[in-house]
Amino acid sequence: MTELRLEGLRLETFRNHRDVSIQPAGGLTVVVGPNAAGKTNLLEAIAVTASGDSFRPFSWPDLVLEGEASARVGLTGIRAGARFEASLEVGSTGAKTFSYNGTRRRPSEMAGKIPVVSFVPEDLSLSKGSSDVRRNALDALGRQLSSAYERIRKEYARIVRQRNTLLRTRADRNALDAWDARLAEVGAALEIQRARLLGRIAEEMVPAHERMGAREPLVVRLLPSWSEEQVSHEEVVALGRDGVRERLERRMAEVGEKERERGHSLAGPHRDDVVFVLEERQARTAASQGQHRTIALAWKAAEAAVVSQVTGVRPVLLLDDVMSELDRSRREALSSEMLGGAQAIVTTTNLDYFDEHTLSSAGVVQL
Amino acid sequence: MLYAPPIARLLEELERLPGVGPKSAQRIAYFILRSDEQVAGRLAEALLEVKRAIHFCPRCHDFAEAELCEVCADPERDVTIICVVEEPRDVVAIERTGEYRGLYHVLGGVISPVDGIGPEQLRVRELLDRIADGTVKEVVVATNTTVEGETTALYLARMLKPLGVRVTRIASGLPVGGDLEYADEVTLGRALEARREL
Ligand SMILES: [Zn+2]
Repeated sequence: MTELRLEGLRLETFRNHRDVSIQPAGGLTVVVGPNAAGKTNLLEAIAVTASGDSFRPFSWPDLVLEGEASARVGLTGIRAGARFEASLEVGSTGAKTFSYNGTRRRPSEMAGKIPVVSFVPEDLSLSKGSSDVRRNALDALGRQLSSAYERIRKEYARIVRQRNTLLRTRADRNALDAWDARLAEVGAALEIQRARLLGRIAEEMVPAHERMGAREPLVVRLLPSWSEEQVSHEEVVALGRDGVRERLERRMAEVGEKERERGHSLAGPHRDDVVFVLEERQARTAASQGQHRTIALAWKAAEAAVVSQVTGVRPVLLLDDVMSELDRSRREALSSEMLGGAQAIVTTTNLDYFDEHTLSSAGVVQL
Repeated sequence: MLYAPPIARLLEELERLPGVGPKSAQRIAYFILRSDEQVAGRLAEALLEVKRAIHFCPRCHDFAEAELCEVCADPERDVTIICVVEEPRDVVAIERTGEYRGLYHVLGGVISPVDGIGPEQLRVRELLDRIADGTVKEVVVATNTTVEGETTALYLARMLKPLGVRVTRIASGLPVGGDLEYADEVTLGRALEARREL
């Protein structure tokens, strides 16, 4: 495993921060401060610089402190025994420049260099929220791990947008056929990518869920748009691109009339769902508040494990005020599953969420 | 800042040009203002000349100076194969490789519903007409590898195949999402050689 350690972070005119520097500890760093002090912005600066993406919806110009021409984030540290320096510069127009060790990079070229896994309160609605929460969680991970995944996802989103527009106008039948074929082809590729990724997640998530003290074993399944029944990720992968494409085509034929009525595409991976099953019941409707949180925690622990396996680098964990959302036993589960040995930057409004033993070895930053 | 009316008018015209924002327009306008009159005269003359002398070739819809464009007028070109491209600049890119000896057909864009562009807005009808007399045996679709370029290729294949021509696509050795215009010549030459059946 390649060693990765962040040693310095500097934000200049980034969101609410005019100029702030911190030196994260090798293990846990707790950033404490009142609401609106900019704790989340600090984590966001790391996430955006390292991965080109944030854990919350954002637009590039928003990252620049009001009235300033540009924002800058600098990250320094050690990677595989050598010093690295990564930076992001964003102009108030949204123009952005990433660089790594002095060389300009595209965000996609940063994939795997400084992997991060973030955990924010919204992530706790993973199993309870609507299906797009789960699709987005998979896609955000896929994007960080593979530029091919991101290329397919973007291509697919564009096809759906074009096809929806066409459905709303009086479409040339032949033109619609061409978009149908493209949706089925690229959609199948995306479904296979997602099923593979979900397979890796499930492999880590199920045992993590058990270690966290859950009594009911967790089963992770998929509900593709073309199926009435849940299927396993193995089944989807086994179908292959051609198999999934055929099923998508069949489904499109079934819903064709409804699609033209409603003016949007009803078959395809943009309608797929990930299903968490506890004791043969869907967690989404049947789980308790506590069970939902354990599922979300297990997912995050799995995410960190999968990022480690795929990139060969242990990711930096960015935890935004999640301790306050968890009860004592789940805080302990989080600590033991994720924080042990990893570099983590954790924000909180209250240091009492951490026991003295944890704090004694942690770095504490007051904002 | 308020400009004298003639400068404001020039800026307004310059900003209409693709890729020219207010800042570039200002730079170009200042350059012209500082240069002697001949510079402006030559530019104005070149602009008018290109509009007077160049028109669309009635066969392939590339730019042409004579009645037909140079490719269509060349008796040495292979008239049994047509390469379909989005824009005239793509013809330039492929010609530069020196690998292709057939004819061209410039669509004038790609199918993109969000931009209001369907087959009727492109020169698809004209392409089908060119196939009708049976001379053309193969159509190579060399639209860009964007989502819209790929879909347009598929659409054309579906329209052309019933007419009994072979429809091929240049191999996607090109960077995905990339424009043909920027593809380096070696890659493009190889992509043409290794075209695949659609
Ligand atoms: Zn011509």
